[in-house]
Amino acid sequence: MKTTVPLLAFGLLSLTICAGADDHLDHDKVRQLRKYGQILPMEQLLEQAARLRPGQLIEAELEHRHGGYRYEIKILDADGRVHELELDAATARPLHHEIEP
Amino acid sequence: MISLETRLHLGLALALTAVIGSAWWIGHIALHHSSESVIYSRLEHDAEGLLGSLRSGHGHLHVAARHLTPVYNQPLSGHYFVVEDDQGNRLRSRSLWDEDLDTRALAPGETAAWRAAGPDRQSLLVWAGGYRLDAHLLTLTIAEDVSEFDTEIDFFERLFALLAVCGLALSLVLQRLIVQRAFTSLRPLYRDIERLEHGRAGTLTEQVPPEILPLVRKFNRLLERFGQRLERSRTAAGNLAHALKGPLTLLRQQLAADTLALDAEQRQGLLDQVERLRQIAERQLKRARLAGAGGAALYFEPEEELPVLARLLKRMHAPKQLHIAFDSAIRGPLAVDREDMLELLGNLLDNACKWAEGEVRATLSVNDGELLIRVDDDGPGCAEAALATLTERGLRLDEQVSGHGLGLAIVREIVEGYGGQLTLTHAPLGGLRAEARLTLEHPTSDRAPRSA
Repeated sequence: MKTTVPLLAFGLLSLTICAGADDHLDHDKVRQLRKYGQILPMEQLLEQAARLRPGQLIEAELEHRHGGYRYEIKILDADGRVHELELDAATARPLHHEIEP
Repeated sequence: MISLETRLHLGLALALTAVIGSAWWIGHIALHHSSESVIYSRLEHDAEGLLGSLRSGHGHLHVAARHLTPVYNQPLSGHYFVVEDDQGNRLRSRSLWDEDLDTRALAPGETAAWRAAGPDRQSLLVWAGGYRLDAHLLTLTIAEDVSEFDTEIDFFERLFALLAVCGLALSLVLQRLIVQRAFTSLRPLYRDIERLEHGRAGTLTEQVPPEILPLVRKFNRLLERFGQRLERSRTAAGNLAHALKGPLTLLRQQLAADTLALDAEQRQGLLDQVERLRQIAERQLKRARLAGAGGAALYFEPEEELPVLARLLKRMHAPKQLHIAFDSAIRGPLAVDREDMLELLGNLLDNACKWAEGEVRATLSVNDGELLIRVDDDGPGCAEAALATLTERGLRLDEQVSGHGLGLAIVREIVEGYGGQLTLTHAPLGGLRAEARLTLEHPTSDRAPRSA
């Protein structure tokens, strides 16, 4: 009985983190990929993003797609608009970006 | 010697710098300390909240996501935590993303706080505490980005420093104004010293700040004492000369009378000596009379002195109806000793008055730093040959009118004392013309007054 509560909590947690996006990688995986040099550090990526869309990072997601890693980041600009950018996680090359309504 | 103003400036600048500097330092410390302690206490609260939602099982650490503030999930949000247990498990907040925090292992109940550099040029305040959860030992490290806050404090500190520097500069300017204002109150004193130097005043004004009033009073007392001493010695000399005259006349009379058994040569020798004594006494007496009242080492001011001199001479030659005309284009004081001038002019005019029928004319002018004094009379004048001897030897040409020869000798002495020249010629009025040329000195020259 003692172990069931944390177990249940873990189940809930993994469910919330992974819900609906099976190809989204969690931050521990992100750190691992960066450590192995498979993706660029987030800092470098943000420098690239700031060149495209200056603003504040509000959300980031790393996806594994078509054998590569791509970052989906959301930037809040000074006017209060949210921009979504897609960058290649290994090269920081922009894939495409759009303005969220 | 450093000027008073510089000293005051230095003193104020040092004092203000010390005061403002320490105020700045204390403010800096207090601001950082109090604000950081507020942040640390919030971090501690967050840590306790986090601890409440921590679960451990299957050799893993978990945190119930619904208990977490969203900022801990937002990548590089500036709010981070790391939980480590003694099993080597490590839980990072999602906000750390691909970064990590340096941690320290702490025993339960132990806490620590420090600053660290964070991702994306963030500046972190880190708080860590050691806990015991079930059988596990935990260290919870929680951090917050304070770079914006630092910028704010930095701005305020710069503003404070700027205001302090402005305040310092303003205080110095203000002090300068006050000091200058204080020194302008000394201006009447400067003016009086100048006037004293030019012989136009006898004392200094006592309308001065109380700090220097004792000095001015002392100085005035000294001036007064000098004046009195001069007056006294002058009076004494005059009195002595006057007192000597009687006995000398008696002596002369007795010598002249043939009652004493003396041969002619001895008699003449004694008479000569008595005559010399009489002349000296006469000279002193005249000098004392001419000097009149006046301060020490005053300069000669023709405008003021000449009319007085004329009145005096008219009185001295009382029964004679004399017209004494002065022609002087000189304004203001002359850089010559007053008594020298009075003696010189007095003697020349005295001579002229003695010989004049009724008219004496005196001209004073200054040319290229040379003072020319010309005194004419309408008397009988002098023969050409006699003029030369008179100028050369200048003595005792005249035996009938007393004092003439001696007067000229004194005049010559004074004129030579000024590096000048005395010439005697014929006057257009018919009598004798005496011309004295004197080199004027610079007013500040400290040539000792001859009469002192």
